Amino acid sequence: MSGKALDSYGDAVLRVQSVTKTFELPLGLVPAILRRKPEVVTAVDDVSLHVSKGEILGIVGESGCGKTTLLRCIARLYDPDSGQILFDGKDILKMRSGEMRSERRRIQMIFQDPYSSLNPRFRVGRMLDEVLSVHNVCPPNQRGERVAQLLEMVGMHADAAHRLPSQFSGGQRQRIGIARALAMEPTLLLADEPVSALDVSVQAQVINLLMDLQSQLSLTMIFVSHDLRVVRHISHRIVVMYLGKIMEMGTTSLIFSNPRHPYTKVLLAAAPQADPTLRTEVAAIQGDPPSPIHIPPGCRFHPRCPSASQSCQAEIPILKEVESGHFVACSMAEASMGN
Amino acid sequence: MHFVAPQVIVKAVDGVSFSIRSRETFGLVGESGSGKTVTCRSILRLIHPPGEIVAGSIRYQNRELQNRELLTMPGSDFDRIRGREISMIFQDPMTALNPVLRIGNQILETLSKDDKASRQERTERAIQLMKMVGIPAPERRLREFPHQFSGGMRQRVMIAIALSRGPHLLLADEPTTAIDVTIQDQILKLLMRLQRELGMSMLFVTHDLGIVAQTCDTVAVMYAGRIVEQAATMTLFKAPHHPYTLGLIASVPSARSAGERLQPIPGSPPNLAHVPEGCRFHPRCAYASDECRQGEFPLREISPEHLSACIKDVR
Repeated sequence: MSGKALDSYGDAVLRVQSVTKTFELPLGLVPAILRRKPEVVTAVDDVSLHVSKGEILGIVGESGCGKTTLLRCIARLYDPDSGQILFDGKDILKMRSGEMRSERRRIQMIFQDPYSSLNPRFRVGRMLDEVLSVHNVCPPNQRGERVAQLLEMVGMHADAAHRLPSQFSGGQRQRIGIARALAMEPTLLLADEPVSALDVSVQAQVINLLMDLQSQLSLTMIFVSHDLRVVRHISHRIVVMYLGKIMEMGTTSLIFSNPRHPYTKVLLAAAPQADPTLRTEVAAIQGDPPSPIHIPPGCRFHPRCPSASQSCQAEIPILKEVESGHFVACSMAEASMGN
Repeated sequence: MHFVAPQVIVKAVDGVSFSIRSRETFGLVGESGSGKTVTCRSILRLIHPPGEIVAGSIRYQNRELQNRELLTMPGSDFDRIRGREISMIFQDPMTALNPVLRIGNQILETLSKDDKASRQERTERAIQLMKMVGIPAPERRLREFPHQFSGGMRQRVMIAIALSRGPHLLLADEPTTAIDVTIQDQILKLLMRLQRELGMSMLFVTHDLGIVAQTCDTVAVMYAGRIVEQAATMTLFKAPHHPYTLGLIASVPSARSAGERLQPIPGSPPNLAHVPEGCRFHPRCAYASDECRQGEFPLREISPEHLSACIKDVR
């Protein structure tokens, strides 16, 4: 299957192999007394991917597709049920806490909500100083200078160090969050919907900042978002997820110029284009996504898929390479390939 | 419309004028704090203290009602406007529905306002409304509670309630902001179809230029409590005039921009308690001159039906 093809990318900084993460739903009182088994949600289901050095990998999908859970597994904020997460060849899931702590320095995360991810009582300088001291990144007498340098790097004035998060706007707070992640000099930056809470004009500033930093510091980055326009703009390669599985994966230009999975096509068609000459009257797809507790058998997209056949109801399609660097998990896309 | 905060007066909306034609979809677009929601809520007098509408008028007319002033109308008269002539759908369908009432009862509640019909007839009407907004198996779902509905289905219920009394004007305040993109697409297409079929006018409040391009006939762009540009949607996207509109359009990542730097607007929107002197956009405007820092600039017609508050011609 795809594993072999993925292995051919020798310079992978991160390799995720068959990672599965489930959550048990809380039981109500009566089922608990009756000792019923809790229901299980498989948020991430047997996902494999890799990220090459200096690459920006975008993960897109709607709510409940498992994109954030996957990212949190990579940061080891969640422990997956099974699978491997190889960071520079070492499985971080097998690391003990001490070892993990030093590796975590190299894997940093930017969070979605710039209002809740900063401590409201810490001045910006103290917040950055704290991360620097905990991980002993730079000697105490140079920390003040480093804080100023970090703030400058994200386009803020060094004076910001003396202020509280509440004195900044959403965009500025997100810059502070980025500075905090960069303080660790990470190899891998995990960005979880970093611009979703921002207004368009400010969103563009933060996107530019992330792209500049990525090329200046040759960062490797995973960028999770529900917004295809943003993901397309920033990513080199894109992973499309639906209900915990990868539906399609490939370079950004392939995904947009030649989408092969029906779900990807639907996502592309559903995103409102900022061009009044491209109006459509009919919705791209009918129906709601199914509950992640009761995932449909076979291909999980088949109940909503416009091109589903009988076999789609029974067989779970495997992610296969349909052209160089382009993977699709759809038996119909494969069939059309053969013709 | 001003909010009176303990120390300062925040002018959330300041001297906004526009008119919505019959059967037209009018878009109000702007970033958070631009005053678009407050403008929309003012129409239904949904401004609560300390908020206060200090000046202006809102006029409404249809075939039966000639040119009525909504802001000064006695409350009892206004009850016949709100919900019946003008109704509204809100941003968050999760909180706009009552969690302890069955969906059917929430639809029937609005129907009971003026209908002399029996409960049986009203239930049939509720089922019909649910079908109209695309809720499958309405007879069964009528007896369910909001938590049994998905976000998209809840928004459909909200639309059914808003349309239950056959309004002539529907106010939609960011109706798809909290919803996934494929469901957003369904809701937008549903609203457009219903608007056409029922011959309603619609005021569509959104921050998303993509949604504006897809749904609106006319657009007004708001910034810091004012309309800075207004034009037919086609004109606005083809020939934007105000630097803020230009900046907004350039900020949206598109196929053309992929991999390149975006052209964002520098800085962030002003605090409305301390709006800049002169043109409110001048501190962020690349084309600002001394002239822009003095005096207020009203909307002017730069070509037929195309209004802009910018005194320059920067295109």
